[in-house]
Amino acid sequence: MNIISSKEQVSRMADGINTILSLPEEEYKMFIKRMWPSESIEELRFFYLTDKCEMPTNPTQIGLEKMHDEDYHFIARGYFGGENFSMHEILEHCKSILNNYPTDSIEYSRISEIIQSRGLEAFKQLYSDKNGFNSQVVDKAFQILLDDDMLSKFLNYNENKEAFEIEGEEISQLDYLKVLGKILGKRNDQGELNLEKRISKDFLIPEFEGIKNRYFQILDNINMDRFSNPKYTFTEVERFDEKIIREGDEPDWAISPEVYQEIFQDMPQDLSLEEKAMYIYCKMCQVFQYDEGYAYKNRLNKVNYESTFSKEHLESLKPGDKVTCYDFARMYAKLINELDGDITAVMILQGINEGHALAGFYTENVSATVEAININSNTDATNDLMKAKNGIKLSGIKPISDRKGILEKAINKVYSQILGEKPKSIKEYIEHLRSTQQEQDVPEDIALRLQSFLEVMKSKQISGNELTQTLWGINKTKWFRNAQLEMAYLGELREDEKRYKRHILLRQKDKEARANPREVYLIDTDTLDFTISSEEEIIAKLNSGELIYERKDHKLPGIDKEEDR
Amino acid sequence: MTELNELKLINESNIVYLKKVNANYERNEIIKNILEDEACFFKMSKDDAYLILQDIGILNEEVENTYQKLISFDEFYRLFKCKKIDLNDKEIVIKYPIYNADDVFKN
Repeated sequence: MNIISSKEQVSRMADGINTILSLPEEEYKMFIKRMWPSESIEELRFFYLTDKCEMPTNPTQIGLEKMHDEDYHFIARGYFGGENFSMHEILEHCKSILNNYPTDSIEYSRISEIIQSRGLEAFKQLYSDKNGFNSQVVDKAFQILLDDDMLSKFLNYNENKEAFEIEGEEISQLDYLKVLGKILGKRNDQGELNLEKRISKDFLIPEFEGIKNRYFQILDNINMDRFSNPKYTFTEVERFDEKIIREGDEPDWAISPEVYQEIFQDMPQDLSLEEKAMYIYCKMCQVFQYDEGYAYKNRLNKVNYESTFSKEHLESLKPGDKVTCYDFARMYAKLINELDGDITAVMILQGINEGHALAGFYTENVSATVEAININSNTDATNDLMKAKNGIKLSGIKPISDRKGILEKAINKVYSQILGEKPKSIKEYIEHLRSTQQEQDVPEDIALRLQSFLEVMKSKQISGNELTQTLWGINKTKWFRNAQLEMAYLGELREDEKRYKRHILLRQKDKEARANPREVYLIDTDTLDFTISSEEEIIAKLNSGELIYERKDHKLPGIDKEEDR
Repeated sequence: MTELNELKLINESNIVYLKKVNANYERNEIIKNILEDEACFFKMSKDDAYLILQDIGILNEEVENTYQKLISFDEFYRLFKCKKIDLNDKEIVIKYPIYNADDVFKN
């Protein structure tokens, strides 16, 4: 909102306020209506007629500037420059001048209304309306935050329920916590409420410090995470490219009886909800395998290689089947949502193209995500599906809120029930390592070493330039260095693809160490084929042009075209 | 590729090789399990780390350099940001302070 004063008389703020106090009644009513926050919280700018503007040909206006006329033509002047005041500063100024006026004056009345329009009642009304809360519950909730005695009773709720009834009806503590958590939010890392910046800018609530301190006492005594942190219930997403799928968002489907039996047949009956959630997760990781065919999804269209829902596919899943992250997340969420009790699960799709899925769940005590299939490109397929089959500590469970460490205890309890042992710690593994005898006299065979290395590369689908770089990485191993391998790159023309393919040529420097004095090794970096060849064969291929050195200054001595030797 | 991933590849190559020459590879399997935990080197002493690196077959003159890269602050911070390190994990013995940017510039 812009308030235009004719010219500077006292100061921009004082002149602006005076202009408001002098507004004709109709205009003032419009002004004060806009001051009360609703869907938007308006700022207030004070200008003079003499300030710079973008539309000087538009008619001058004094008072509350209209933006458009009845025909929706833009009639404002687009003023700019001049000092900008926050609403809080303006309200502080109003408060300071209030008592300059008689209490029965129009000015006093208007200033009071301006202050009220951004006070505690306005704040409560805004957030009640925004969240659809019962205004009486909100009023009562704020009474708790304004009164130490009420707060004390609230913290001993069961002994004092009558104090919190509304029109004779019992209201649960949970209902008040929901309201408070939603309106005031959580305490951030600096020990403040995230809301404070908004309040200090747009409102004037002198009681706020007391409200905040009493709210913190509630936070210290009661786990409010569920109500104050929207990420707890997956109402707010962690990343901009996340989408939450809740129960009911997709068509219903039925998990096969075989899966039910496999998951639940041995589950103890006395587990807590969190333990059940962990049990189901561990069991699913044990029961299913990862569908590595997902890596070829660009070459083979399968319904579960995309995020789209397929009832037919999901209902066909049996224990032992290969699954994708979508399958796992959907099934896990469904199994959890079918549990009795206060537990809810969701599926989380990640990526602009929804290329990945995980699940999340929450109870009154904890909230966590579970990611059985981790697609972090910096790691290998070290997902929980593998870990659960090998008794390795699972890493896919990430708490969002778990104040009492419930999940860690739950995992340890159920994992050992599923595996018959608890997962080893690093310390235990090292103890095991130290107690295991070292193999002595391992024969060295360089060709076999290289072949073994290439087998691993093949299994990880590492080829091409990445293979070459990885080969340099193993240069720090004893076997590689001791072998004193010389290396050069050869190119082979692929006519069909109109490109050169790289081969790596290797040879042990020490002739006497070679199995055969003229022996060389050739690695095809595309196919990862390993060939034991001879210097003569390579020379012949160089002579015929079938192979060429990649770099003229980087060749193996003695292995070259006839004319270059 | 991270230092840890290189070690994993080397160790796996060792396992494949030892199987081919009919040698015992139990130690390498244990090491494979250890390396599954990306934060493993932050959970062990230097002696234990050296044992593992030497078992994998890292040259003596490369061990210290490799170890320092494995326990660098950059690596710690990367694991922390990827939520693979929990600052409250009691297993962590090598820790670096992680500062909140707002705290650093707070008046």
